[in-house]
Amino acid sequence: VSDKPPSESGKRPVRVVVDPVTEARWQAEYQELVRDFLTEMGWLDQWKAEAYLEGLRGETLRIMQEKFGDLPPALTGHIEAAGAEECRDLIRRAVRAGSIEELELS
Amino acid sequence: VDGLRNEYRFETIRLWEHAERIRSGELAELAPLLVLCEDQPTEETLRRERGLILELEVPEKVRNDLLVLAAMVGRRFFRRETLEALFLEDREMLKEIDFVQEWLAESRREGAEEGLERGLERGREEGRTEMARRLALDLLRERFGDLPAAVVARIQSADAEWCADLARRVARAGSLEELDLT
Repeated sequence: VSDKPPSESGKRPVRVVVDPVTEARWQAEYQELVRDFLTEMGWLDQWKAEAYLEGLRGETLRIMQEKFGDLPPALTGHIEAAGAEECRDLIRRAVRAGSIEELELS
Repeated sequence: VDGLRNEYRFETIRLWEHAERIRSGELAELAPLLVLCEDQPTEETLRRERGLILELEVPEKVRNDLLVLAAMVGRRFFRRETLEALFLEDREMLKEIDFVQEWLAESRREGAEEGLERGLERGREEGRTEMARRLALDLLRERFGDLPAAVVARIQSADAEWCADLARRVARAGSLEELDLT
C-alpha cells in the first residue's frame, strides 16, 4: 500500500512492485545450483585439483625452460606426468642446478 | 477491500501432459524434466533422457547445459552412485560448460602462482646464499691470501647463516686454523 495520502475517495492507491528475474540473476542462481550439484557429486573438487596441478606443471615447465632452454622430450614428459610434490621438488632443484644433468632425474 | 480486486494470470505448462511428446523426441529439449512426469521414475527414464539429449542437434553449450540439468533434476530421485554411473561418460562434457571452465581456469592460475612463488622464493634464497659465500671468501682472501681448495669447497657448499657467522669471526682470527677451516 502506498504511503501517499488517500485520494478524495478515501482509498489509498496500491503499488505493485514486480521484481523481474533478470538474465544476470538467473545465471547467477543457475551457476550456484550447478556448483552445489557438482560439489555434492565430488566432481568439482576433483576437477579443480586437476586444474591446479596443470597450472603447477605448466609453471614448472616454464621455469625449467627459462633456466635450461629447450628441454629434452623425456624431461617434458616427466614434468607433464609429475604430481604436485614432484613439481615442487623439481622447482627447488631447478633453481640450484647449473644444468639439466644436475637435476639427477631418475 | 471495498470491492478492490487484483487478478494475476500465469501461463502454465502441465508437463506430464506432454510426456509422450518428450519421449518421442518432439520436445527433446524438455528431456531433463522427464523424470518429473513419472510417479516413480526409474534408471531407464534417466537413460532415455540422456539418449534424447545426446541425439539433439544443438550447440555443444546447450547440450552440456541440458545434461547437467538432467543430472541435477535426477538427483532428486536417484542416489549419487546411480548418477555417477549413468553420466560417467558425460563428465568431460560437463567440464566444458563455460562457467565451469572459468572456475577451473582460476584453479589453474592458483597452481601456476604457487609454482612461480616457489621458484622466486628459492631464487631469493639461492641469491642470498651465493652472496654470503662470496663475502666470506673475499674476507678470507683479503686476510689470509690464497685459500686451500678444501676451504673454498667447504664455503661453497655452506649455507648463508654459516657464511655470515664465519665472516663475523674472520676479523678476530689470526689464522685459518683458528676458524676451524682446515
